[in-house]
Amino acid sequence: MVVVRDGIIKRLDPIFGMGPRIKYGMSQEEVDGLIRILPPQMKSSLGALMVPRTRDAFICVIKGLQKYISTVKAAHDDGKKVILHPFNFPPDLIYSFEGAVPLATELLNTMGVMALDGQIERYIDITREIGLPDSLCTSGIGLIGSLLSGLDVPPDAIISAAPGSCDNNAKLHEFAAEYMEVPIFHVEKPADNTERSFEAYKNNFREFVSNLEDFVGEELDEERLRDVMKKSNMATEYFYELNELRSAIPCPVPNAFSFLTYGTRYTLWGTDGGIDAMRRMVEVSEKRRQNGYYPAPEERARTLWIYTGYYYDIYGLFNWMEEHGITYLNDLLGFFFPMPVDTSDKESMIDAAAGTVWNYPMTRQVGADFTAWVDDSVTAINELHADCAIFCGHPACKQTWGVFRIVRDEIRKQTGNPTLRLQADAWDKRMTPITTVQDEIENFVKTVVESKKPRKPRATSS
Amino acid sequence: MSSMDDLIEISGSIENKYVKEWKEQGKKVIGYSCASVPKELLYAAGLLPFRVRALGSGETTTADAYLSRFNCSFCRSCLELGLGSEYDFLDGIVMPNGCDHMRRMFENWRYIKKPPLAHPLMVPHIVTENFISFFIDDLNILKEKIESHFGVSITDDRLRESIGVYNKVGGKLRKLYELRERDKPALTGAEAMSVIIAESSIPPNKYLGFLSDLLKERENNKISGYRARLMLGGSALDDVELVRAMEDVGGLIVTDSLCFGARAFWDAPDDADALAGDYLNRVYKEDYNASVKQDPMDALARKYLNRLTCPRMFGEYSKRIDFIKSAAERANVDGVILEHIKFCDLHGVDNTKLRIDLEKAGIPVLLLELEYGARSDIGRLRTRIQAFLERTGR
Repeated sequence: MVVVRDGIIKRLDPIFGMGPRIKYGMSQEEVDGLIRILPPQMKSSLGALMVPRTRDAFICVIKGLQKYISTVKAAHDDGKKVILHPFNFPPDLIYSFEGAVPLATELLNTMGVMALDGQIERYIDITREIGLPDSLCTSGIGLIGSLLSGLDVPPDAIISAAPGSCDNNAKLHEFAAEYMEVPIFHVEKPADNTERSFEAYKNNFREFVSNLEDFVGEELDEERLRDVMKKSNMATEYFYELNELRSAIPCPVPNAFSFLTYGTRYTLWGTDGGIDAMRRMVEVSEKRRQNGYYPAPEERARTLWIYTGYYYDIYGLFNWMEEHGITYLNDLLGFFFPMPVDTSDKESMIDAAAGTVWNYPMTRQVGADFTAWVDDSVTAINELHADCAIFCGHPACKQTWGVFRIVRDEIRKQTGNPTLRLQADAWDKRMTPITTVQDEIENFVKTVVESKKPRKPRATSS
Repeated sequence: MSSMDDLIEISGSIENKYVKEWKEQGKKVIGYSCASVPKELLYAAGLLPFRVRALGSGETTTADAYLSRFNCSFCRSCLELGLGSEYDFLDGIVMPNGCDHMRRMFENWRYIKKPPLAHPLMVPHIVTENFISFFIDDLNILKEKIESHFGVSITDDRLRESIGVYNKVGGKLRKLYELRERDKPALTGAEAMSVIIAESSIPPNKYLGFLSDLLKERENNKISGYRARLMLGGSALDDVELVRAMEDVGGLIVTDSLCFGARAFWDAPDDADALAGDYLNRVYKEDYNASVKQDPMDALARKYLNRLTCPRMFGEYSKRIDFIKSAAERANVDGVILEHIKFCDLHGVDNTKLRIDLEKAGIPVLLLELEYGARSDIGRLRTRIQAFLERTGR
């Protein structure tokens, strides 16, 4: 019998509650003092992200997330409805309702992994106790377990944006809705990326928005929607600036900004907090570019992660790579290609939101045949000057595993780049120790990536 | 040789003698992989629809190099046969986005084997007017592709005729299920599965003959000597040997909720013979209207989307549990076995909720997670089923 006393959101709230007290420009001594008083897991993640090279940007994200979590926690007292949604649905649209608050499954789950003692293991165990299979994706199952336990902030409705693009995600959210007896809204993605499919998708999306309006009990106010979308547009501009910076050699964008960017996208887009976080990341990276700073003596490899990273040990992956001269340029979750929203009227904004969801990471690449995944990976490899790709091999993602071989072969064919296939659960440390991952990356870089580069002439002794 | 013997023989091989006869006549065969593919459309083009399955696949060495060990072993086994020579008799494949594993199986099959015709059918996951229209368009795209590839014409009349034939098949299968579900069942679960498998492996007119004979042969047959009446539901399962192993320990499978079973035909009109000329009135009874009658493609799309009592469909959990409850009640079962193949998230998750709700309704449930075709697992399964029979008090 799993013993759980509180849910993930309720446990995160006091931890992130320190957000307002953390100041920009903290000295190392102040950071050390702060880290000393934190619970062990938070100590590890915060220690990784509070290194001077990412500190101020991370503080900004923490402040945004603090507000996000406290808003969710207070939603019912404030008379608002909590709308649970998977990562592949943008929060902007929910922010556009006066009476609704977004709650992103995978983001809260990942925060649980990064900040809570015992990570999300006890919540995964709850789902197993209920009888759910052990092959489900740990990207969201911890938070779902927490919600099913009845000890967390209960959602009032669920949006499922994964039917057609991810069985696992769609099914888990449907189960949660049935189990908790809350309404669910499905946004289906047809299995290709053609114009015909997008038209059907848009029609379905408009219907969905109207149903959501009925549920929230409020018609989307055009002005409020426009305000939110304008903020999204500003964050989008920073997103592209950051992406541009990533192409510089050596890469001036810290490895950790990959997940901080999409963490921001999935929670804070459409808010001032989202703009601030993106602006800070651009400023930090731009400064680094100007100074020519890189955390290792040389940039040995520029890796593009064609699926997700690992989130159970931030220091062990992102910092370790960077300090060993291995750049983490981006991963699939960062491939969301935000388009500036046409804010001329309500319809154009809703259609733009449909386009955003349609082009969201994974929905776009794995919600169609493998060519979509190959095309986006190849484009990113070329634009960011990557010299290799890495597939994290998250075991629950059956559909990426199902075409990985083809994708790897196509990447090799189209870019000449090798792809490393790892195997570890991205959210559960119990499967593969991070040191094993590090060894494999190091061996790959040393024996494959570096060996394919033109050899430097050997120094000769006179 | 009885009709049952014939049907068992047909289901026991992939390229059976009727497929060979069909090919010898210069006619073409199309492989399909899921109960969501409207075979009526294929048959209307003069093609033989043949449901791809994994009979006889042992090792999945080649398939594992493309799919992975995190993919469903049924799809891996089908792909193994597809990448080998077992399905070389197919003149094309039409495979839907039945699930993520199947989608990827199709992509690998197409990428590596390059069949002359390979069409990914996009079957919606939610039933709305918007997506029904989308599916009709998709069926029309398939129709045009078939017409152009094979140089045939699929007229509305041919389509109506084909729907009529399959309605008759479904109607007779429902009669067979009456014999199966009655107090003194006329056939075992393993036999019933063989009969169903044969349906998707031979020309439907030939199959109708076998079915008519079988219904007569088995009318007075009474199976006895079993401990409990069970229902079997879950993911794609064409493994007759597995069902036989379940029945060997005393649990007679008297009805099912399988896509190689009742889910593939249950919406067929029960008086299909009489309705042969007026089939459209009945293909989708609840939504019949004049426009449907005019357009057989519309009728076909509605029929298939509404028939899919499969967890791949979203927003329809109540339909699936009602299907199981009514079958369980009709067949007066002592318990329900819900299986899923390892890594099948759709059925794995759905079965969890079904178990909770069926047990609340007083119906004992056994959940089984399987690897497709794994004979080494049979002993463990027998033990679990024996324990389940004891739990049900039988």
